[in-house]
Amino acid sequence: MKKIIKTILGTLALSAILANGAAAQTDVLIEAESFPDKGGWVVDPQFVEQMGSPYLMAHGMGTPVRNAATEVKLEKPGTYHVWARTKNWAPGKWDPPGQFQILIKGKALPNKLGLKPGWGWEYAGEVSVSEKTVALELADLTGFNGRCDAVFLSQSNENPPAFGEKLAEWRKEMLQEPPAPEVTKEFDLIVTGGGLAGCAAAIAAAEQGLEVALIHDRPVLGGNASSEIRVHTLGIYGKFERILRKIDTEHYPNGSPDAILDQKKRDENMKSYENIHLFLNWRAYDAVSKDGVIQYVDARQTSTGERIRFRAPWFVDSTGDGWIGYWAGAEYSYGRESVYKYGEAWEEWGELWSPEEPDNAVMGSSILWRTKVMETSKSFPKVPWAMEVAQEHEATAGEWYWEFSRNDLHQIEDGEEIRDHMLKAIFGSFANAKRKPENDKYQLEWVSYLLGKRESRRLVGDHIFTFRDVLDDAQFSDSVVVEKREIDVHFQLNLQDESKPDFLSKALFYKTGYYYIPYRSLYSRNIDNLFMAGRNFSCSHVGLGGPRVMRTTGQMGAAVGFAASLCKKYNVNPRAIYTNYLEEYMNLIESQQWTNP
Amino acid sequence: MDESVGKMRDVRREKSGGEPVGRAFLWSLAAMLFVLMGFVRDSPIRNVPLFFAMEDEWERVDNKTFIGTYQNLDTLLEHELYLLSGKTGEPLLFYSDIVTPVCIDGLCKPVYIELYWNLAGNYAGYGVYEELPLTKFDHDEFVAADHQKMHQLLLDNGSVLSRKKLEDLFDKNAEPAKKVEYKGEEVDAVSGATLKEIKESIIEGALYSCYTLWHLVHGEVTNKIEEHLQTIYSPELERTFLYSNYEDYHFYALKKMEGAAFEPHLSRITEIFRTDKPLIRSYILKKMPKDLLSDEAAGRALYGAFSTVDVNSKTLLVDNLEHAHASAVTLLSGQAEEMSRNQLKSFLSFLADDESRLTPAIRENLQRAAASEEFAYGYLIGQFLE
Repeated sequence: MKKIIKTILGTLALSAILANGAAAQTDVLIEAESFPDKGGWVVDPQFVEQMGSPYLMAHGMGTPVRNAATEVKLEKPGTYHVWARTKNWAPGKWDPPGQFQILIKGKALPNKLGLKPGWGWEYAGEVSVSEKTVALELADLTGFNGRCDAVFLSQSNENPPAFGEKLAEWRKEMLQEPPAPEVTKEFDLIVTGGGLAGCAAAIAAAEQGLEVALIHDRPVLGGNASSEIRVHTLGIYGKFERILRKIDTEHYPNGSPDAILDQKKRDENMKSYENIHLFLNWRAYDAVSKDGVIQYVDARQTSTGERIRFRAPWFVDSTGDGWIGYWAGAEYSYGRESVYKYGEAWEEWGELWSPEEPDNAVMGSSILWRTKVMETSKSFPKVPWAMEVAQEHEATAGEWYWEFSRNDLHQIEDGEEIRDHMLKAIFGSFANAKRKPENDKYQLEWVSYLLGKRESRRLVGDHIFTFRDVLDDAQFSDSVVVEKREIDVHFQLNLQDESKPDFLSKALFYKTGYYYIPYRSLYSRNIDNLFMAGRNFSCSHVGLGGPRVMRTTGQMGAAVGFAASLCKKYNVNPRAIYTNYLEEYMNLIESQQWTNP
Repeated sequence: MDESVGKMRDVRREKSGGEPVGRAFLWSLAAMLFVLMGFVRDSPIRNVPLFFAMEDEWERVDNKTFIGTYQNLDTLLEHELYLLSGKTGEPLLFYSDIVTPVCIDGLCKPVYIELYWNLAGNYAGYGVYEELPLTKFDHDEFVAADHQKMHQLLLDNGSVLSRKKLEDLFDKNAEPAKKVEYKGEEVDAVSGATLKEIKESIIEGALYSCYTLWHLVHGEVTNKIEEHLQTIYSPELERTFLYSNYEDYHFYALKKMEGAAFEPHLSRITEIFRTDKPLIRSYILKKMPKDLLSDEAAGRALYGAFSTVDVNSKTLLVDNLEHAHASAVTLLSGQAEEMSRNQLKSFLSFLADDESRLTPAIRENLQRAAASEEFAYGYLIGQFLE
């Protein structure tokens, strides 16, 4: 594995940046996620855009995880000061939960880390080194989600820049990164985001002969349906049963380990396509457009930091959060529209369904979790830092309604706080349940650390799908997705009843017949070569309520993949498929209709 | 409506003064419909409700007025709806005297029940007749705990019954509309609850009555009530609603108010803001004309409550600072420790927008918060003050 342990070579530029030019030659920045041996720590790339980098996290559910280890090459012997970029993720009047230490040559540096709120450098201590290569380890002390973004060693005792642009610039210099990726790859179609929508898009396009790159920031495909998040797929297959059956799930209880079986099926099916080029553990970090046309998407390997520039004539944004569109300058929306904007009222539920004034009270994100009953008594540590969230709530299992949204939190920008809030809810509620004798043998079996998001940015297409389309029974000449699932919008229980925990939600179901999503909701209004599929398709907040489930988003993906094949055939952009080639496109989709032989 | 108000009363059963309810069991829907068509009562209600989740409205009833009929979409029966009013004609409650069949495996039996709704269309209580008690399907009479369960079920607007088909719950032979099984056990597709768990939340042996009555109480009748309320809604009723102790009345009144209508009731509205549920608080802050926030007393009432209100209302208070009286900024700075990370960031950014906003008093408050060991986000204040 290619490691990113970059020693500073004492360039003039760097000397200018670092206060101590002479010491600069001995400075070493190590990205924690690049450790070749991660031990029991996991790579968390979810919040790169907010805090700057993937990081390692000790997700041990209360049991300290095995040490992560690497070797550090040093230019010269001497005394080194050591810092870790970390945070106390549950600050308060208690012992911070995510504490860890740095070991060098097997010996712990004096200061415990993970003590200060907010991402920043914490000083671990100093160490005398005579060797050119030393072993460095991260030793988790709690099992409760300690996190380390990077380790910095320097013979100078000056703190590295703490946050913001200064840190980003310093980091680039330290890692000696050229401005652009040095490797460029070209494909017919670049699909970013390997959830159900992205997988279906890749399959459909590949079956039509396109060379497809599928960029996904996790080791496994499926997004919310993956074995890492474990939400079962809902919705109908529409015209795409054959494709969607390759990647969907059984109706297992949410959080069930049976998700692993479906994972295996999905991964095997996806890998069986020679012309789907999988880039697993690659996270896109930029997309650049010129005159409304995306030129390329840049992505980074989540552990090694390697970068690739992906070029193609057409792109699919199936990131869920609409990142590709966002970076490329696509129009997008976020939040709940006023009920008057599209006429989306459901009188019975009024403000909870659709507010008179627009706001940011969107549907929340979930963290699923499970326990198992063991044969003997099992203890669980005290978690005082979780109690402000869990309060008196007791639970030995989670479900979809363990969901968190708040009007001061953005589902993307504040994702880490939302995830951490859910962890407190889970650990606290479980600790409460464990006080009861009947739960003596319960043990946490699995807690996800990945947010299962419901709603984030919605890219704007030529058509914005709304609840109105459902109410009006709208059918379109370009109806490519069909669904009959209820329009299902969630709200937080504590809006109605303040005594309820803030991490539980309730669903409102509007029963409906079949409704249809037009192809025009699946490509960007202002970025000419951008498709979108998944929860970031063109819709309103309430419009998202029904088709946000994964067989439906899978239908979107498949529809987009087939459209991309016609884009290639005629060398046109997505809109032209609607304006010039609709009949051929709809015939192609119709021909996908599959009956079980 | 405060659920705790709903308590079981002494059942001093007096028979309604009107035409007696048909005593014979009606074994078919058609026969029942026929009987019901001729059902008319116009005398005041005398049968004391078994449950009543309001204050003294029922005691004040002096008149009842026929409003119209509504249909139970499950039985297709029409039922009559009455408005109950007080001595001076003030509207108090809506009421229906119900006979409805509940059927199982083709066998039907009638259920007799009096239902009450408040003026906003929410369930308020029910009564039964001594000689026509609610029974379970095995003919056992409801016991007190069954009644209590029924009342709680009817109070729950969002019951799981709202999206269940009857056959999903009951008829094992019927093909359920949406049945989801996993490893041989039927689960609720939405909550993940097993059918057994759902049934446990309902009265054992009276699933059918529960289902029928819940849908009756929360069905088409609520639209009828809403339609009628609109025709009788007046400044007097607005005042009654606003100054009542019922949150749904407050909400209704607030929804009807526009712009200048807020000002005369500002004091009451700030009181409602302090006491009602988060949904209503947020609604007030979103809807109330912004210039009213510049009123010093209103600002003090609203911003002074910062530490006691829910987190979403706090966000709206911080976001509305630019419209608020200057004293509100100082008030808030004294409650900085009650802010979430993003609320504090917004607050500090508001202060940074105009240097004059950071008065010595505010600076002192912020320094105190920053120094507090109990405050997780003091470091943000530290960065700001630097």
